[in-house]
Amino acid sequence: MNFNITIGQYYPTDSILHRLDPRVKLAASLSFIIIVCLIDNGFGYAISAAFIAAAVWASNVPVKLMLRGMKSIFFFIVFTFTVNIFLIPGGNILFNLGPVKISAEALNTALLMTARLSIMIFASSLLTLTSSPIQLTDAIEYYLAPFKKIGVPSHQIAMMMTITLRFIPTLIDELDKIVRAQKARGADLDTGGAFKKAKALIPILVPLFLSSFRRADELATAMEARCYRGDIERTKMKQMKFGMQDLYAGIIFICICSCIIMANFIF
Amino acid sequence: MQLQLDGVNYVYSEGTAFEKKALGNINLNIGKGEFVAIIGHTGSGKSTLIQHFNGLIKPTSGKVLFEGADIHENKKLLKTTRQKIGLVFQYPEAQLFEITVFKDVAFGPLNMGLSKEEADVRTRNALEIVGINECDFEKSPFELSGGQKRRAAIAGVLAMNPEILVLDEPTAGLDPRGRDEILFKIKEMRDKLNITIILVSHSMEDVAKLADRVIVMSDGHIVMDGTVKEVFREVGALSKIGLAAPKISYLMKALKEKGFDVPIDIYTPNEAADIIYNLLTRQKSKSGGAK
Ligand SMILES: Nc1ncnc2c1ncn2[C@@H]1O[C@H](COP(=O)(O)OP(=O)(O)OP(=O)(O)O)[C@@H](O)[C@H]1O
Ligand SMILES: [Mg+2]
Repeated sequence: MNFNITIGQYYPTDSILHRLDPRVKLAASLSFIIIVCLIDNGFGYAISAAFIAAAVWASNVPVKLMLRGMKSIFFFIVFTFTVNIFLIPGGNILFNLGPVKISAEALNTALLMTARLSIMIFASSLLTLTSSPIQLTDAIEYYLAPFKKIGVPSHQIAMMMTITLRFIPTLIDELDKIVRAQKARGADLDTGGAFKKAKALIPILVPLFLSSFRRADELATAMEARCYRGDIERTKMKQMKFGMQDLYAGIIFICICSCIIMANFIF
Repeated sequence: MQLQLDGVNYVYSEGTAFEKKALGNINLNIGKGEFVAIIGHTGSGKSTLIQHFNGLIKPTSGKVLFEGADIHENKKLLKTTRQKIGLVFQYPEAQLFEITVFKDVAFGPLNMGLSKEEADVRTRNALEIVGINECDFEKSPFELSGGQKRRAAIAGVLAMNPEILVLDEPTAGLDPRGRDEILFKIKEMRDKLNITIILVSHSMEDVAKLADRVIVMSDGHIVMDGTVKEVFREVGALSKIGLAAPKISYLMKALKEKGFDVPIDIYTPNEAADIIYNLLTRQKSKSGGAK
């Protein structure tokens, strides 16, 4: 089994993007993704792609590592492209491959979807690669705070997300260990039909669930023993600061977005 | 040689930012019936090394040979090697999953494709060897005490009748009584079944008491390999890599420095007790004779 998951994984290094306020990064990537979904113009996509490329370069994250983490999603993109190109009907036939006709409309839509998906994935990976899970949840908590008045438990949501993110690598390690321990006892995970494969998961899932419950229980006890009481005027160990560089980054970002939107209207 | 490692190197997560060289140029021969202890500071690569023995980890370069054949040569060989080299992980009780202790221990033998009858016989045997009573066979493994869980987990590997039994810190986190019981069982197994045993341990006392041969790891390399006496004699080299000789040997040294006539290459409390007892009786009879 292979557990190489880079998406959603923080890459600890130093770069301009790493130093930015996570609130700025979160807002920027979300709005960028929305804009990319709304435009449908080649120039707009060219500017977006150039912007993403510049951001990847500025992030100091090795491109190879980034691409490796997206491998499984590339498959999804190729799939979307194929489905689009073959199934969308249109009058303007470009190629004729036997019974299969590819129209200009289909090619156009397929390319558009591919560009959208790729840019979205790069944008969201950049966000998670350059901001630690804690920073991200802090940012989410900040944006959710106004909804507290209407009863949204924003602090608790953020805490749940932090804990979940924190334990994903731990669980992957644990899973890996259990798989190896059962393999040492002759467990066969790779052969057999669907039923046999599902049955082979029992010796792995039972210990995994048991240990997650135990961990959750221990964590809850440890938090209570330290008098943790949810969201009562809690201060943060690391305050988020909106500094000059965040201001500049925001301005540059808004300028680029304006260009993308204008390109969409002009051309 | 039963088990042979030939220039084995291993790198975790090769080609990523988290790349970590865990083993460097390991050459090792282990013969049939040996009792080998592997010691080393935390993070020195002990667990990584032993997972090479039964092919759970494939070396980045180098070869692992079992009875002369490269275990990674084909899938079938790998599978039979896994059955012949039983590996008990650190905290093995984390791998218990069945409804009853008996069924859990039978998991290994059934995976080997044995008939139910034969698997039952082996399971019963294994549980008996580790000292779990018949009345606990049908209990849930999660109802057992920590020490019993550990034993049930060891039985799960033992039931496969391995020719080499590898144990990764089998006594970690147990109370002194639980430790002694498990160690006693290991010794008994080795004497009764005459299998090769490889034991990873942080306790120099246990190593001195049980093993014939000691392999010392440091930073992914084997730095010493010899008999208990040969290895523990090198106190200076051991302390340089964060290890020490069994505590009792420091007592013997202190006695020697005080002018008592005792040997200093003594590493188990039992031997030390005998020597000190003899020393005392000799002195008593001397002073008695003078009277
Ligand atoms: N799954 C893994 N991925 C990356 N590095 C690992 C992994 N497992 C172990 N390592 C690293 O390999 C080195 C050797 O680890 P190993 O577990 O073999 O040590 P050990 O001697 O068994 O230590 P201990 O006495 O604490 O059990 C350590 O530096 C460890 O950080
Ligand atoms: Mg270890």
